[in-house]
Amino acid sequence: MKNNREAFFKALTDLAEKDERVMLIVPDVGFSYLDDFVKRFPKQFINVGVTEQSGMGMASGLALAGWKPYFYTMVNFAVMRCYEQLRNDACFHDANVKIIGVRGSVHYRFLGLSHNLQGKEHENKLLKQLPNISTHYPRNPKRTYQTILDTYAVSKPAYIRL
Amino acid sequence: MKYAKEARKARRKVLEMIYRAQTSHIGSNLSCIDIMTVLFDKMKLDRRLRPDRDRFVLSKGWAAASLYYFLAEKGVIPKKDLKTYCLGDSKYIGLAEPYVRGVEAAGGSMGHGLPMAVGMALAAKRSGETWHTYCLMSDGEVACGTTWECLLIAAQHKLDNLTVIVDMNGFQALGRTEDILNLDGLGQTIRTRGWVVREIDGHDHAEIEKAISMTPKGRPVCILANTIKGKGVPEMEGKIEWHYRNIQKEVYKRALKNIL
Repeated sequence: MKNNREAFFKALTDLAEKDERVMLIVPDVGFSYLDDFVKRFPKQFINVGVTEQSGMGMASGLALAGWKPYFYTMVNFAVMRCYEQLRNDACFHDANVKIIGVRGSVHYRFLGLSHNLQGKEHENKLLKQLPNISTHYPRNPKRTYQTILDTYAVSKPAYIRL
Repeated sequence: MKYAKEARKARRKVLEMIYRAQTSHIGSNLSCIDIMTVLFDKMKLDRRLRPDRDRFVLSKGWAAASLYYFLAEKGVIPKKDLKTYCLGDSKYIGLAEPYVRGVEAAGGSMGHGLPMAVGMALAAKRSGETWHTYCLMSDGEVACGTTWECLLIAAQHKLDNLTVIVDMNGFQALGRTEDILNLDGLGQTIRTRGWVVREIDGHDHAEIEKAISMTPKGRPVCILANTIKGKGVPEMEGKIEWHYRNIQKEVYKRALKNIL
């Protein structure tokens, strides 16, 4: 496991293998990281297109119906773009939605404020006032892997930043 | 005839709840009571709230009084609880939230119900389960970005276990929908995206029954139900003030007498 993203996909693959209600939801991101998962678990994957607000609402609906959705995208789009859906639909419903916020790698350096947190910006300032959700910032791939397993075992919303 | 009687009973009770609590939204409740009367009769739903029940998402959550009424009729919540509607610290508030048994999703903030309903429909589809998801939304909500997102998503993923009913009462918070964001041609627009669309009289029980019974293969259903805000109480019909006003005693008495 070279990095946190790989660790996440390794953990998710392990979970999806034994639990057919684990679902990966992406709003059209994840080029090259998703291929193996999509090939192996087509029924446990959906690309909702660039619709983060609906995607978060759908994740909540799926969770309320017994599925275990993982909503995966860059921090800005996972938390900010759909903040009200995160608050109302996921957190206030105490829905078992896992939000995976991807922090830009070195390749994101030139993608500016739209794809990166700037200066002292931190998503935890936005997350800490929300009900029912736990937040996790694992520092390395090994911890990331373990965090995904640990949070899977708790049927509540959780945010994990990679 | 059965439905006419039941809808009239529902109108009287909802009017009583809103009058007693001196709260608002009577107009929005009255416009969708006929739809809910038929829907709650047809839906697979009983007091046990089994995992394979049909899901009903009230996206226009401000019709909460009606939802509580029908949940009580189904035995999902106790009938006596209706007396506490919007009084003291009752959990039966004016915008339905899932703290109440049987409320599948909170519907206060506009544009939230449909994505959650789409998620539920996708859940059933991917699990190979046969329960159906219904979402009742307002025409004001059609403007929300999530509505348009979901029109694409539900068609793309062939959610033929989803029925969306739009209560087209023609009003939103500040006036007529046609004067704010005109929805002319909405049916054709949605049809073009691959949905099966029916435009019906939202107070005609036979038309409602026929439309909600449709299950075309591979396509979601959208029912544009043309309704009258305040339907059933002549002096409230088609008047935006009944989105906001409390019901005074004289009006209430008159309404009970004149209710259709």
